[in-house]
Amino acid sequence: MSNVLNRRAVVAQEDHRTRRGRSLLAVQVVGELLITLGVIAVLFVAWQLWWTNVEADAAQGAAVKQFVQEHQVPVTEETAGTLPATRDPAAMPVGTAPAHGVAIGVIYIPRFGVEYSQPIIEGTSSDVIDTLGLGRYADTAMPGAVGNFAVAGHRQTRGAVLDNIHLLVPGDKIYVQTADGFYTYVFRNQEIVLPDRTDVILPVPAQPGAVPEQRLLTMTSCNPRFGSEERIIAYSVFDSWQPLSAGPPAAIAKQLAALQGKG
Amino acid sequence: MSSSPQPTTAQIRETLSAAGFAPAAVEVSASRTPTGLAADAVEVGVLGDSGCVMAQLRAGTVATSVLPVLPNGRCFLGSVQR
Repeated sequence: MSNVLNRRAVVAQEDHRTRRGRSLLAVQVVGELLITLGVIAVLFVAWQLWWTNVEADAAQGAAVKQFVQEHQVPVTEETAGTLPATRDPAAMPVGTAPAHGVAIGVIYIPRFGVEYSQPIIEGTSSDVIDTLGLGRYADTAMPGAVGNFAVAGHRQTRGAVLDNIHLLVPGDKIYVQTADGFYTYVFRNQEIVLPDRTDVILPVPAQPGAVPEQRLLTMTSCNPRFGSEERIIAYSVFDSWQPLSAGPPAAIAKQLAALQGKG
Repeated sequence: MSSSPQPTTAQIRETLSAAGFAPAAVEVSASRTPTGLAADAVEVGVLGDSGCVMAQLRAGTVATSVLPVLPNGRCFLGSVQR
């Protein structure tokens, strides 16, 4: 009789132990799953904030080089800076928009660094701006044309081409090289808007129906730097142009020579 | 205005108006973004006889330049910020 009781007690104890063991195992499995998820999340962030930049930087650098080397310009001590920078806008060539995904030219912004250059590609869909840098909004003006030449670029990730857009100072020069020439724009002011303010890329920004009289450059990116709740808009006004045959503006001559030189 | 490193839009307007600038000739960008964040920099455009005096106030420093007046008689592109 006592044996039976003892056995019951033993069975009950064993039951208890296995139940405890099972719940421990469950906790362990859940814990390890959470750790795995955490590692995956960290890897995702690393991929997004770092690796997409590595990949995009390579594609953007290659696109810049390809464009620059296909459109050779004379860069010598004589041409750099000695020619008059201001030429009659009436004689200024304005290119026609290429097909989606095709290069329009290269943008140089010394405020973002002496090495800063990015390709300007037709279109603003993710296949363009995720890998190739700045995308031109279709149906906006081409470089040098009257109206608004509007481009979009990522603030962070995928090349972070406009990471430093908030650092532009009124009066900063922005150079755009196309197959026809160099167009110099001067940064004027910026504003931060909500994403639904598509009127910032109108021919006269934020003035629907207004007839454009000026040649503008508008750059749009995300704001804040690590978010996308807002958009940061940088407006610039056309200043001068010169044909490719006249060589680059002095401020970017060295940089362009380096880009042209390297195979 | 010199008392705070990053003055607000209202403070800048007040200071300029006290200094004798007509409010209609002054545009000041927002010191707060639409979602309530602090703007990195506040820009000021003052319409003068010979051009627009553009100033940018950023973390206690001021950068200025003189740029041509826009054809519509304003200094800022984009939203009217008079």
